[in-house]
Amino acid sequence: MNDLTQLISKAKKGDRDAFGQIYNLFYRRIYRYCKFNCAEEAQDICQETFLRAYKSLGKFSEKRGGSFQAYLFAIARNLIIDYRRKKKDVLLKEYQDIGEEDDLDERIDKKRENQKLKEAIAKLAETDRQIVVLRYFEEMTTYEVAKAVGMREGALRVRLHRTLKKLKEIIGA
Amino acid sequence: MNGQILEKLKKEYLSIVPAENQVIRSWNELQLKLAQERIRPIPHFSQRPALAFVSILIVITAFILIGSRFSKPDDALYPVKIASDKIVAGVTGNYEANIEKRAQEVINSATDPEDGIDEATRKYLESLEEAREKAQEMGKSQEFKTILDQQEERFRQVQEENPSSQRGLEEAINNTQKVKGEVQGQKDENPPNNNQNQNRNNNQGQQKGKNK
Repeated sequence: MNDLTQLISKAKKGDRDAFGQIYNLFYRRIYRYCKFNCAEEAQDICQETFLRAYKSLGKFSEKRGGSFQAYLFAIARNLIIDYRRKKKDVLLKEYQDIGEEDDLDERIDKKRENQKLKEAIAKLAETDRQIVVLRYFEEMTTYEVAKAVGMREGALRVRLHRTLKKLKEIIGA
Repeated sequence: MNGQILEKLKKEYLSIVPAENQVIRSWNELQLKLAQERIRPIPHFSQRPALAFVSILIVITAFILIGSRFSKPDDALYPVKIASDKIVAGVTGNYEANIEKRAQEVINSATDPEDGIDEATRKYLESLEEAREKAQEMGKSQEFKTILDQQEERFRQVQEENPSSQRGLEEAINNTQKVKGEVQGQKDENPPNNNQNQNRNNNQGQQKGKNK
């Protein structure tokens, strides 16, 4: 039994300290994911993700092939989708807290350099973008990404391949 | 090329980092909320009486339906078989299949005296009546009559092969002939809409004459 499994097991029994450790392990990643997809409400969505994860912790089971990070990202993803549905005009905003340590000139250069790439990924469909983020940026396995976005692994692989092709076309255009 | 693009985007993505005081503040807020919440346990199957009851009901119904498929006319499950056949015929509209099934039961009962020939014959007649009504509704009287002819021939063949089963088969043949007569009678009373068409044509002719 690894550490995370033990923590989950303790948290399931109502041990909030154990859940605190889980929170510490995943908060930054979930926050990043929320911020990337939904800059404005990232903090609230991130907190709500952990609250929901705690409430329905009883449903999560590693024995049934569950991956805890896929479980957390799936909750976050659903909350982001709900939020986007409510506010249809929300696009990928600039991340206001990126490189707060950098001076202004560096930040402007960095923004210019990455502007094209950001626009390219923003042009992808919501699910496609999340698949790319989870697979390549969060380095999750295809099995875990499939669990998080609610698809079959085979279908996910095909979609991922098409998305990368699309991304290449967008950037090349 | 994709690899480079993804690497740059990944670098950009990974640069999103929450401030440490934000992480702590968020946890403190969350802790207050967690204190008011409880983890919802998943009840064991046996603790969900409605689900357990429905599952048991489905299993029992499935057993009864499967068991009824092998029942004979005097068996307790025979009415279940008849009812399920009627439902299937109602859904598919194939009432002729029921005639064939009931006819086969008459033949089986006629050759085995313990198999409830009276019940089989009664149900055969019922299936004929039902199919006749549906055939007339759908305007398929001619096809229905052909099926009845085939059934009658089938009964006569079995009668020749098993002279000991005269009684039941004779009744089934009589019933077939009776229903066939009814279909024929109906057809004679209401010949295909030729007369109506002729009248309509006459009326149209008269109308044209008047207009001229």
